[in-house]
Amino acid sequence: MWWTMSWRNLWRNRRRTLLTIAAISLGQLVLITMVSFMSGMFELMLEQVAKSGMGHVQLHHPEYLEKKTAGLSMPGGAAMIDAVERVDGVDGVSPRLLFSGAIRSSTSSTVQVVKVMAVDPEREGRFSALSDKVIEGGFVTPPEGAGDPDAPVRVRNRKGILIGAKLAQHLKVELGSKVRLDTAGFQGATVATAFYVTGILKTGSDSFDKNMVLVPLVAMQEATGAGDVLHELSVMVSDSTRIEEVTASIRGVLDLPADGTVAEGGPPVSVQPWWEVSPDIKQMLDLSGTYNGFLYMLMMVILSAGILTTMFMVVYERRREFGVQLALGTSRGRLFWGVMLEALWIALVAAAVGLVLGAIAVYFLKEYGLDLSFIVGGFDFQGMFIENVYRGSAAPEVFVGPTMVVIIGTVVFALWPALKVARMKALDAIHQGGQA
Amino acid sequence: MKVVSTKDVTRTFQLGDVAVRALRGVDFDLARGDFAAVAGPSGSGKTTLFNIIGGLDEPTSGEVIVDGSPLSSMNRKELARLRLDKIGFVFQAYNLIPVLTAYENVEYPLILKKVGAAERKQRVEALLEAVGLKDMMHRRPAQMSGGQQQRIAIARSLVCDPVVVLADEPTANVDSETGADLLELMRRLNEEKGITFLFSTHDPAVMEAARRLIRLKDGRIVSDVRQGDAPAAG
Repeated sequence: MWWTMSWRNLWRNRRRTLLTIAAISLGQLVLITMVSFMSGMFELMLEQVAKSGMGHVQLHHPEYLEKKTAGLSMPGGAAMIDAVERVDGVDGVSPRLLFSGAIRSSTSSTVQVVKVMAVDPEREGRFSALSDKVIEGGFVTPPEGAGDPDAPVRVRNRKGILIGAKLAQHLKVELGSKVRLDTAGFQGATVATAFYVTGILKTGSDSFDKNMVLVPLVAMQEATGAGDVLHELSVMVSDSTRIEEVTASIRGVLDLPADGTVAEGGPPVSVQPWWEVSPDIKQMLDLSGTYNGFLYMLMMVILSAGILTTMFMVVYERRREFGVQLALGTSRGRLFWGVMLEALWIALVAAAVGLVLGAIAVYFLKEYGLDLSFIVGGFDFQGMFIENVYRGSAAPEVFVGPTMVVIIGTVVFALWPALKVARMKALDAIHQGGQA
Repeated sequence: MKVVSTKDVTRTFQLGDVAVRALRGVDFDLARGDFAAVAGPSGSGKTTLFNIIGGLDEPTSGEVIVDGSPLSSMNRKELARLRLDKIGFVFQAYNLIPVLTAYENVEYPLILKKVGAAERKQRVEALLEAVGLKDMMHRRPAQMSGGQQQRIAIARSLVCDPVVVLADEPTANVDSETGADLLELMRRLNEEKGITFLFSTHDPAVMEAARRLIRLKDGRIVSDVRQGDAPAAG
């Protein structure tokens, strides 16, 4: 009887109940949409950060990240790369040498300081989202005639370079133009290498479009005389929830200590998940939790306004009725739970409606995304290129969190009016109350 | 056998600086099977007396004993239980629960007492039959006349087999014909089932129908007579 009674009580003032439910449901819709959007954005940022070159796990010389000097390389032979690539859960690897350099065209005196990333074009192409940003030419492809045994030696040995659109504009070069790249070699001496522009990329981020060049790994290994060494081996993991497991497996395959330390006399290699490589990015992504917390608090404010107003109106209007129930021998606890049940009904109906509306909103947000390029354009974050079409996340927590907030919040906010009813004096309620 | 006893009951209300003495020492006993009315002008203390007997208000001094239990020794929870088990209430404004049907309104106190479904059904249907509204059991109060609602309220007051039914102006909100019907119903229940009724009333018809008439004035009993019988003690 109590569930039925509270359900019927709910619809005594149909318009007020519907308005309350509508307010809560709309709040829940907004909450689900915002949480979905933010979660989706952070998921995208994480994915983009990984695809911008960081990957999920990185291998370096143990001191490289701290000192960033060219001499701090690690062994990077084909056997080692293959071993890492074969670890269960590894989706792809990208071996790299990283230098600072200065680039100039052969026809102009303009010089630009750049970061030089020497990559295995095939592996990097599969690994990194940068290959999708090439607007002219190819992704670190060789120039025409290079490697052709029938071509003259000067043509056969030509090397290709991929540069950003802004850099090309700055240097006044185009596809096929010859550029000179000066880099600091392993022994401290400057190494000058000629390259031919075989690709131009455009990401929308200055870090990439103006200040970075990509060249073949083999070319730089040869030019610097470094041999099979690397500054970095980035690893992409097929399932981002398995990053720790894969990190441990790589350490195992390379006979490194499981705790990530470097064994004395062992290979100078450190294997770290991305959040150890870039704690700033980790901190930034962790903000999503704080942001969602703020949204939940906002929802609580909406709920408190809706529920407290409605339930106090209920208490006020039905004072006499509560008084009569007390006179008939109803316990105060029974009256308390009666009011709580009404609030629970409101919560359940509003949560169900909000969930359906939220699911529709998330479907569209996930399916079609939200293009914010008109506001932010492309941007880079910590040197990583970030996309600007955001898609909502449809992860279970996007729905569970807001729905729980609505149900629990509604019930919690109903405690106050319910306690007020439980403390009523039967006689006062009967004589002062409204219509029974 | 006494079902209700009041012993020198007083009740004073403090209204600002003024002390209003609503009851000034009320003594009377109500025996099982009584069909009694408390009559008196407005402000004579009828409602205050009813509230105190019903455990809804406390006397300033004196004692009320219901079915052998002194109310002054009971806490709020015990008083609620006493009302549920031993006192039936019939209000002037019926005060049925609007969202419940006639059947559910009568059933309500039995659910509070956790009486089993089969017994509830049997008792509720028997009472609805007794008040002549079995065919309206699925109607809600808003779908019934005032007289019909008061019949349902009477059935509700009886469903837990109380030792006394306190009926506060039960005919005040209905026309005289319906009032006469209600009185006839309560009198029949009193005679056939021995249910004790105590009315508070202005209505001459109720005073006439009562077999005992207690008159209150300025918070005191000024007369207590058994009509057609010898004057009652106390």
